[in-house]
Amino acid sequence: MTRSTRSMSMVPVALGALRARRAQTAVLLLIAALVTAAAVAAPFFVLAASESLAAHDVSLAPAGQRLVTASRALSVSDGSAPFDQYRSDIRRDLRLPGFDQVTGATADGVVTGPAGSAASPLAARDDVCAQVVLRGGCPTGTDDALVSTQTAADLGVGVGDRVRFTTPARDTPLVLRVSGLYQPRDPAAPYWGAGGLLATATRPAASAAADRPRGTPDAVFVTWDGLRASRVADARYAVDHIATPAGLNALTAADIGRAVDDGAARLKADGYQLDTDLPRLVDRVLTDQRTIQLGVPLGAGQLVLFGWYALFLAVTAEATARRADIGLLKLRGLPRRRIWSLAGLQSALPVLAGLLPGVLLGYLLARALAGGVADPGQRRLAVALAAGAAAVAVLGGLLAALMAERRTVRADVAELLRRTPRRPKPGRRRILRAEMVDLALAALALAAVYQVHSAGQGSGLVVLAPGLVAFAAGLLAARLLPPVAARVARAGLRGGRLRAALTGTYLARRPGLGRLFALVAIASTLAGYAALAWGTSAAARHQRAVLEVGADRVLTVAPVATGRLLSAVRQADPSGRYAMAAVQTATSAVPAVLAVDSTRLAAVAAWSPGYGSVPDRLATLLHPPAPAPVPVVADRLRFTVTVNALGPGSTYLTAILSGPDGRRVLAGYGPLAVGRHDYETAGTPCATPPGCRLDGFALTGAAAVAGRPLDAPAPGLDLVLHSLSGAGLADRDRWRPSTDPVSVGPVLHSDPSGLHVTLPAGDSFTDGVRRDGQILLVDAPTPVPVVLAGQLRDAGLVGEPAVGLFASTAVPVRVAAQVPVLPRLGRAGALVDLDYADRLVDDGNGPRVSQVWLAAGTPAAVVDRLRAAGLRVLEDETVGGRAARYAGSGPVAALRFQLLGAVLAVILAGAGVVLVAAVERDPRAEELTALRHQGLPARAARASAFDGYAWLTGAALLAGLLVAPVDRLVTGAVLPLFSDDWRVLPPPPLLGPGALLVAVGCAVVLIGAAAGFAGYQLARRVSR
Amino acid sequence: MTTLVVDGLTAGYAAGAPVLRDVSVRVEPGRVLAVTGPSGAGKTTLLRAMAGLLRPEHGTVTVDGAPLRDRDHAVAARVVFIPQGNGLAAILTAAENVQVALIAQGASPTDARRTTLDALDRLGLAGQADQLVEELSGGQQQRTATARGLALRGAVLLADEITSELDAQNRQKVIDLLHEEAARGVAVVMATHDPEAAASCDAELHLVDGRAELVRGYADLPAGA
Ligand SMILES: Nc1ncnc2c1ncn2[C@@H]1O[C@H](COP(=O)(O)OP(=O)(O)O)[C@@H](O)[C@H]1O
Ligand SMILES: [Mg+2]
Repeated sequence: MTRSTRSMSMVPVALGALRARRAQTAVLLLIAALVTAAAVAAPFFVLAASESLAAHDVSLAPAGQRLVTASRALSVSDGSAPFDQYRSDIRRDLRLPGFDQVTGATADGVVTGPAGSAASPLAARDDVCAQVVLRGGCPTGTDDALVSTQTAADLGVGVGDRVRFTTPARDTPLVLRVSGLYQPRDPAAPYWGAGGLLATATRPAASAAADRPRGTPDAVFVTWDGLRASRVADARYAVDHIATPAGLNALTAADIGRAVDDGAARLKADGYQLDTDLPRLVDRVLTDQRTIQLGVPLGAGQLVLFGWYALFLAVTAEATARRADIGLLKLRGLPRRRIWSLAGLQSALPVLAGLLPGVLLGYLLARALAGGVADPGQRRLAVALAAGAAAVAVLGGLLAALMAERRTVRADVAELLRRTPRRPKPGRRRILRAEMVDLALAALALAAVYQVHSAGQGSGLVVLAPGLVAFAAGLLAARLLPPVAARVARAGLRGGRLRAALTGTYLARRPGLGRLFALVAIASTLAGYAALAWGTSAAARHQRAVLEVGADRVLTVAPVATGRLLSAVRQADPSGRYAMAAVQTATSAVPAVLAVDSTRLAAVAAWSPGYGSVPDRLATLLHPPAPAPVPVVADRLRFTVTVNALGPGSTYLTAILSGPDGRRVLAGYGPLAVGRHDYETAGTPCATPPGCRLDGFALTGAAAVAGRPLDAPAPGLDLVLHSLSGAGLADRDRWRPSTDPVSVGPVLHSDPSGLHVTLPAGDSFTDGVRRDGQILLVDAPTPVPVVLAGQLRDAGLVGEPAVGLFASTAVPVRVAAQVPVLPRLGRAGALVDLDYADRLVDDGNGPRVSQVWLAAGTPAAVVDRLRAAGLRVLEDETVGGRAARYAGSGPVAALRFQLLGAVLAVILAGAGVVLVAAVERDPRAEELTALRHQGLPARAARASAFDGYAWLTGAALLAGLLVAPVDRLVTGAVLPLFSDDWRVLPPPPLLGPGALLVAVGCAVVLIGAAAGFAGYQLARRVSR
Repeated sequence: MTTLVVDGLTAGYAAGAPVLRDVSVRVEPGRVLAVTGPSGAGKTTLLRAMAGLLRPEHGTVTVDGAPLRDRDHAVAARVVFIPQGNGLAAILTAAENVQVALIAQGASPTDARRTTLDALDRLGLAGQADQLVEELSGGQQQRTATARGLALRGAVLLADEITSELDAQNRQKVIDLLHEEAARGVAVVMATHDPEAAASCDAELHLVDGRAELVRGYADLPAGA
């Protein structure tokens, strides 16, 4: 026989031996497969998650962050416009491949119909008809226009009617034919650009010009030719570049960031302006990439290390079982090479056999958790990386296995023929190699923890710290096992407790149990740590979602008069338990204002303890008693007025009321004549109780039109208002002029017969001060209380504070309380009562968002009633939905992989238990049987079969349960909670008992099943 | 005083023909019975049956008239068994092996401790009490098993080839100890293939191919035995 055939001949022998121990071989194979799986899963997971995270980041970004808008001023006054020129300039300067492009142009103005007017810009936009639900036709001719359903209602026009568009930049009104009525399919879609085209979109404060009529500012769309034909001198041309997952993804993010910077410079040089929030999105994409590219391979590496350890333990256990065979072979003088190949093959073959199933399992796990890798290039990269990782995992596994075998092969025959290893001689202990490893690991863990506290996130050992602490703690705890068990055994024997004596002896003396203990302890620490990290992350996501959404569910509804919103919500939910009306300013004005129906705040809002306040108290502060409203119930409203003097021009008087449905009712009188007269209007909706609520009066220079500013009459006016349909007006304290600091209102005096009103002489007006003829009823506390989050100074509320509620005239406020955080507003903003705000604000039509907040468990009928009351739901958001959005971020993906790793680690530990138990079953069964023959009761024998595994795994699990929180406390949150560095609320505690219990529960079930199985198999073998 | 009677015993292992055929023997208290025969004759099988570890196919094994149900029953009837190959637990030390057996059979921990040291001392193992079984020589292991058997102070003592690895001096000591036990009133059975050891016994049962032949009997052995 030649040498090679000699060693070849060992293969069938080894295979035979493996077949004889089929179950053990299978467990060894499983361990090897799990190690390979962890290694293979990582690259697939990272690359798949990279793709899906970027796509997720892009698709969930607010429209503003997906837009790169290049724009320039545009004049079409001469009837021509170099649109193509502009377009190619922009295309040349700004290269964003894969971005959608929408070109548009807008001109500010007012559109007027028979029933009213609206501050709608005139706009041309590519493919607008594809983005809307259309009634009628798409504009084709130059005078065709699309008007939104809402605007059409305000203007009182339908398809085929004509509207007039007036703009300061044009002398004569433009007459347009309404070719169709539109409703945007998705007003929040980035197609609509950064705002200004739709009423529901948020709009920067700067464009909410004070002198523009307020109304529903949905744009009026015309064709490009129509826009050209409008000859507007003052328009704006813009190309919106919309980030899509195809354009902005894991691979392109960095390039796109640079392209935007470069493009901005070039465009500026060419006279264009670039507006974008895209860098924030790019940052988030890059942060997510970094998080998983660091976190996942580390997690996988940690798991592979753990797997090698499990493999080492398993092979050691197997080799121990084969010691006697090897000893006999040695006794027979078999050459060492052949012994090596026989022993080596027995562990190498299962490790190699685990490769293929491991690769498959790893790939499938990554696919299940993160999806597939779509990009072919990335897929090739993933395959290459996975192949490398698998090779490393398997080679490491083989090395671990051979190291384990080496101890057996090199041991002397006498030692090999023993079952229980020689005990170290007392007094002659020296530090062994295994102890050196433990100590080195402990030192490394300490260094990592030190770094966590000195360097912070993302550096060096920090990300490794939790794993290092888990390993070091597990190994050190395992060192305690033999001495503690020996003590228990001695005490048991002394006390006559056989179970304790036998179990203690077993745990103290059976070789390899310390390693098994460490394996289980490390696995349960990893599981506990991963669960705690996940728990904190989930709590943070929920907490953030609660803060940002405000209530369990919040409906954003199409803009509607505040009074109407309030009454609709109150009627839909008379109980006050489920629904609350809220209105939020949609401008960047400071402070941001959220007005809520505060009587329902406590019942409806979702509140978290991090806010530093309780909703009941805030509601009380926001809603102090107020002077009663003045109801007016009459069809024909009769006004009794004495005019003493009139200024030049005609003067009209308007009673401003809120109708029963919350709509504003204007009752106009005039022109007024000198002397005492009764004036009357017909046809108000105030006839049926509860009638209308009187809000005030306005003296105007022309008949008041809804949606149009009230122009004040000429100075020199002097009159006394006596009564309105029976309601007396004499109480001076109930009346006030407008509170807007930039306007000067009438002077009010008491008069026994009524309210004496004079308009100051003309010379008291200076530029920049608006005359105002309004006299408003005091039916809300003034100044109105607000609850402020943030600093007074930052909110501009030092001194005599006033706030522009809903981008309206400023209203004096009193800061009733300062709190750290408010729902939806975060750390800066003001909360006010919606009802009072509505009574104080004379024109509530500024850009804002009307909402209905719904508490958890709101019956569907409430929502149905809201819809039936005419509230059109634009957006429907829930806390759960918002929280789920954050679950798609990089840190959460990394945590998910960490959880997978924890589960695999626990399975590995369980496999270790099963394997060690299988290997030692014969000798243990023999021992227990022998003891049975010496009178050990059957029950005690069976119990000690279970006891050993129960105590071993129980103590190890307990160690894990104790170490995991400590690990978490000393290493802190290694991964960021959010990819955008959100810090409005303090992070949730590092330790949540719930998550830990779940993890421990799962570990106990899995490991307990393994231990129970091991105990059962042994107990079965012990003779009855 | 306990008497163990084997009557018409046919017994064997699950697979194959019975090892023992129609064996009858009476083990008297205060006497030592030697069971002899060539290797494979069924000595161990007979002692296992006497210890309650093997169920008879035919016939009975009775202790004071009560047929043995199983090993637990035998333990309760204080039938002590020193198996061939010692039956020591390798994970325990010499002393622990004795102590555990004593406690398992109801001794108090302090008594067990004292009795153990005493028994090991009697067999010259005082110095080996805290050594693991595998750290003892074959003879020491055999003597440990014997010490355990003696420490249990049974009513019947079954000793299976407990002198095979002993030197002459120790063999004699062990045989003397068995006789001392008999003198205490214990019914002692000693399986051995050592004719010298057998000769020192009160009676001898010779097994050949599973059949028993009484070489030498007590005066009052039952007829037909
Ligand atoms: N556990 C067993 N299963 C099957 N056969 C056995 C078993 N133990 C012993 N035997 C068989 O029973 C016969 C008697 O064995 P044994 O009683 O051990 O003989 P001795 O003790 O006289 O040397 C032998 O032929 C042996 O092969
Ligand atoms: Mg025998």
